[in-house]
Amino acid sequence: MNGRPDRRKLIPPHLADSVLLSQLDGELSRSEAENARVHLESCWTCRRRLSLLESSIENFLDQRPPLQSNLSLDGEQRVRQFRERLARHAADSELTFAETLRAHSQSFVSALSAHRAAVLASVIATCVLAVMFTDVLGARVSADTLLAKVQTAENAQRPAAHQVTRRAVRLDRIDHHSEITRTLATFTSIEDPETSDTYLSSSGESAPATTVHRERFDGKSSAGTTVGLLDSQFPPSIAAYFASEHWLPTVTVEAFRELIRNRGLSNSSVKREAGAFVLLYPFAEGHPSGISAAQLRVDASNYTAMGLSVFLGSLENGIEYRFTPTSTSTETRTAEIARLFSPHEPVNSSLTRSLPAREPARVMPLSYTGTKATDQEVRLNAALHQADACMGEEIHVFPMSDGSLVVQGLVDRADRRDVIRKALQTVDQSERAQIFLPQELRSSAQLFNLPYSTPEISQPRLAGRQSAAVSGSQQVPLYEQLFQHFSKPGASKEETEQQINAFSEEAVNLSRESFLHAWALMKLDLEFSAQRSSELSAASVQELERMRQDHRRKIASIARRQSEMLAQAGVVPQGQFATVSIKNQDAETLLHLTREQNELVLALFTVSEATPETGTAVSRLANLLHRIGG
Amino acid sequence: MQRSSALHLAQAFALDSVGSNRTPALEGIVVELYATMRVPLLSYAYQVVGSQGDAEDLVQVAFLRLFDQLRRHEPIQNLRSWLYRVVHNLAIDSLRRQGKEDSALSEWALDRSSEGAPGSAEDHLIQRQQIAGSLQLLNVREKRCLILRAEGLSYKEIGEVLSISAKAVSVYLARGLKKFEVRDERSA
Repeated sequence: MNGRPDRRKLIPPHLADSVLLSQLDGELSRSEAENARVHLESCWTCRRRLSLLESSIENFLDQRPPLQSNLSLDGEQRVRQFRERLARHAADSELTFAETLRAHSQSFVSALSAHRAAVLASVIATCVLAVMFTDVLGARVSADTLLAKVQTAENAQRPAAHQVTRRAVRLDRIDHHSEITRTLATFTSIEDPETSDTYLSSSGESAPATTVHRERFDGKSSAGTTVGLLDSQFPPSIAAYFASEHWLPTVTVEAFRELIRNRGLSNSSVKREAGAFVLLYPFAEGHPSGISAAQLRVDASNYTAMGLSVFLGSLENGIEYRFTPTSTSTETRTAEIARLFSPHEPVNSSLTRSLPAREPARVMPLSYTGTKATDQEVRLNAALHQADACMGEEIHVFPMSDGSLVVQGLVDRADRRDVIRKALQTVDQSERAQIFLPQELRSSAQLFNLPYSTPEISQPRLAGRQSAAVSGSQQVPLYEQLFQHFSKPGASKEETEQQINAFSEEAVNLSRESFLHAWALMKLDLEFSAQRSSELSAASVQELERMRQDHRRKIASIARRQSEMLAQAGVVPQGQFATVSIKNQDAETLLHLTREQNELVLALFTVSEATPETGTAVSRLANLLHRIGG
Repeated sequence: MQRSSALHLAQAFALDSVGSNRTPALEGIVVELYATMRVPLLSYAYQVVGSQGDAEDLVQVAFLRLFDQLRRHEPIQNLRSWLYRVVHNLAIDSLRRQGKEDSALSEWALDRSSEGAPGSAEDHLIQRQQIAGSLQLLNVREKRCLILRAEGLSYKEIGEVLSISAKAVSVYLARGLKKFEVRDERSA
């Protein structure tokens, strides 16, 4: 012992090979890695050893790639083989039900144990939320959820445009104490969703047999009352409540909600009885109506309302007024139905009488189905035809519920509107024309629904915006052929391409025009079907035929022009097309043919991402033009 | 599909977070994973058993076991190390049945060293002898650790395959590489 410190203790020990390697592989913890880094910065020996390790690794790894590439040579075959083997294995070892059950329970238990804290927190949070935001004990959530489901089911049954819903409901009075049931009345309602008008009539033992009542529900107005219809069936307090709530005896969620809106309580309950949900909404004790509860029965299989009841007294021994739907249907709003809503024009029926008018009658558009075309309608259409307003401009002649006609539609420009109005004035200035410009429309509700069902064919891609044959570096599929045709000695490339563009644009515009003629032809067929046209004069029939032939002639003429263009440009051989004659193909066939014609021309003469197989497309177009034209 | 995405999808399934109970969907996932993981697993299996046919078979068997495991909803925390462990165990069982230890590695090394290396015939011969000599100095654990590490497995994953700790893996790897280094220097 000489008292000097041991030098070996002052020098940090060298890093072990395993630590050096772990440092290289990033396998050390952060603190271990930092210690190793600090040591390596000051230790030549360890840095040298690290370098040797790296070279050893490279030496070892260098031998591996050839092995992997050899083994991967027949990869696809092996994968196919394995897929078949696995399929056999899966089929041979189908799990039994018990095994499946065990597997799922294992999975559940394993997930539960792995995430015990999270699961527990979720359960607690769900319970807290349920208590905070729902009335679990009162089952309000269940009842309201069911109401929402019934509402969804009813919405799915809403009538289409120009249709109304007709319902019949039977009213029974059930005395639960004496167990006597008596049918009081049958109500028939006709609801028009476009106007929110409901026509209601009743017939029954105790009800006035000749009552027509008109009710308008716009959410704001309290116009109308049902007292005249219902007061003889119910105690005055209930009838007064119905009147104050503007309640109509229909079995719908909407009607039920109106009934319970001012019941003075918020609790509810739901129970299940023999394939039905029974939703019970009690009224506040001492409610002015005397009603103790309202109940809605819902079919558990399809969520449709099966019956609506109001109770007086207890549910077990009191009086129940039960409304049961006996039929529900939708039908076209005919002129006769539309007039039901008009107090000025009572229906000419021995069973009905009108109540005093409260508001002017609303004149509604009617669909072509169920109405007859008139000569005046033909004349208006002829005027629109003359002004080319049948060519893609959505202008229609609407038969109205008061027997008049309204020409309504939307055009792009004011000068175009002037042309159409002028054309209509030549027919009859008294006819109402509602031609809108887009900026004049406050909402789409200002436009009537189309008076016919749109045929199942969409309008083609309309060209013009995309008709450039040469756009930047892109070219149309027929560019080479067209360039060869239009290229003249001494002409520049730009000049030739301008000619190609003009040629292509004409081809595209002609196709579009052809389709619009076919569309106009189809519209004529829809508006003037054989059924609607039965009362037309011979002159009108002749006028209709003249318009139809006019469209056909133009379609054929376009087909001929396009055929000539293709032949002249050398796209198809000369003389392939016969002289075009007008074929009396039906409108629907022509519509499909011209649509395909339009699509093919767009594909061949405009720049698009989807490049067709040119030869096939040209051949199809040539055949199509032949079929259309003759 | 990239190896990583196939592995991630299968891993999600193995942890039961995909939620599909349909066997066809599971079959698809397993086949996809087989297609992407086959080569590295085969490489390892071949280096242990020394026969490509046997290696192919036992890798497929490993994936059939994977299918069964997933269908029973038995969770697998690390799919890659699980697959290597099953392949490893199957390979060891295969060797034991045949009554031999994994001499295939040395044969493989000799085969590999004769292919594709640039230089003269003398250089190839020298390199073959060096690698064969180095590999002969490695013990079984060192060899397997090196092969698995070369396949990209982490120390933890190698430890899971060979049922040893990550620390032990680092020691075996370092020892194995040291032997290569010694041979390298000696031959230099």
